[in-house]
Amino acid sequence: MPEYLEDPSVLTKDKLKSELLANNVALPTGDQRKDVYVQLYLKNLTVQNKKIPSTDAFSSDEELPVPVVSNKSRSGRKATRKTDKPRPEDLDVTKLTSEGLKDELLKYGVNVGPIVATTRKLYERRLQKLLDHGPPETVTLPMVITQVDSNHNGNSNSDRYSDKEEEVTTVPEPEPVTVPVVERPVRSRGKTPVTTRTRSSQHNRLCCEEDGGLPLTLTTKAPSHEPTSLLNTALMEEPAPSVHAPVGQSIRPLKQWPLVEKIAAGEQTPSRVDEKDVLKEMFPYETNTPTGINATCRRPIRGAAGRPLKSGDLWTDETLLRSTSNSSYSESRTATVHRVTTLPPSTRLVTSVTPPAGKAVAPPRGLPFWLKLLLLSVVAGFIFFVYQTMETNAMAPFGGSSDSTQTSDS
Amino acid sequence: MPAQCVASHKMSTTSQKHRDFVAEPMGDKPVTALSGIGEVLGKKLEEQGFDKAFAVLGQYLLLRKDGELFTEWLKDTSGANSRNAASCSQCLREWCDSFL
Repeated sequence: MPEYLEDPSVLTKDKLKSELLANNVALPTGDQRKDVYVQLYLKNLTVQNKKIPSTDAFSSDEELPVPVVSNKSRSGRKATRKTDKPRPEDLDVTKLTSEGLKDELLKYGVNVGPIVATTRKLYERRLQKLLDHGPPETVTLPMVITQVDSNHNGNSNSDRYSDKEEEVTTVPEPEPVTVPVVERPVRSRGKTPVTTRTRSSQHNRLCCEEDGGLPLTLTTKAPSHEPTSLLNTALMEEPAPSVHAPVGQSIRPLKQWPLVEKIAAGEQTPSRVDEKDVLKEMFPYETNTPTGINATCRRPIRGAAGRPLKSGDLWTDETLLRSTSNSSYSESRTATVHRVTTLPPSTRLVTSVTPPAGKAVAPPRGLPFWLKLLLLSVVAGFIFFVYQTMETNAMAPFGGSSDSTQTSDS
Repeated sequence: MPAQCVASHKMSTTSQKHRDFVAEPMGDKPVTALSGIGEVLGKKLEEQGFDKAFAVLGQYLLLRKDGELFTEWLKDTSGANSRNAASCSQCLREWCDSFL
């Protein structure tokens, strides 16, 4: 029987891994801390060293935890784990008795029912899964918990966020903290960021409500599985177009965003590998930027702030039709109030501004105006005709069409 | 994935079959009365010995009303897909809430 080390922490991580693999020990997925491998080594190999066969371990439950505990104390490792589940990895779940299986599952806190023929396989599978994920869980869980605790109290973090923008948090932030994190540094920088935040939030909301152009999508690569409603609405409104947005329309630097971006950038950590993968799936078309922020500029609102109108700037075909027809009208006359009232309110913006230089040319798309008038008259006539036929015979001012129907009615 | 969040508050829609089953004690209803269990799945369950709805209920209770385990079991036993299994699980859970 080969002699295994009592204190495996003298080995390097790679050495530990290879030792474990050489002895058919299942390694946890991903790159774990050395501690993890040390424990695995201890659990599996040092235990064997003591010549306690693993299969008999369950009949002598009392003996098994003791040597493991003593090994741990000997190695001088800090007790990082609060929940101790000293389990040798090389359990063969199928060889366990139902009692043993039940005990194992109970140790993982599973609500176990009776192990009968039909339930056995399920519980074995469940236990196997738990064993595979077991060691990393016990090590990483407390770490996560402490992180969460430290991050929930905003006050304790105020000193972390100094005025230096390059200072990044080394601790990966848990998901729900994303928004408060962004807000906190904003607050710490004084008044202006707050206003930019509110303005940006308003701006964001405006972007979404107006439904025009392409709203600015500030997609940070923070671990945001539950992003704020702002980002939500920004993403939801136009998920497809915003991703494929031809930003080259006219890229105008929006001055209120850079500060927010910088703040958010300051919060980015380079070590967000897992979240990045998820986000990459979500947003496959996002370009890689050093800060992880992609901001697609919003299309400028034509017809606002003195910007000239162009037929290509309008959103829908319908409004395009009406506006182009309207623009040709407004050339001839200035008072377009009565026109405006008949049109949908979205085109009021179009008509109220000085129209572009004489576009008497026929519109590139849509029906010409005379055709529209013709259609209108046809439809109106039809409706009128229908109205007439429905009229009671007492009125019947137009004899021709109603005569034939009167006979059918009476 | 959180991309679809804003207005889509996820409401689970129940089928008529589900509502019918959950509305009264199952008595001697066949296994096909369960939500998510149709002809094909019903036949497979019957082959395994689960010919009545209460037998499947029995299995659900054996698993301590663990939805996850039950769906796993159902998929194994009858070849149900995730949706049907989840539907059946939910159906039984609600039945238990009312009658057990």
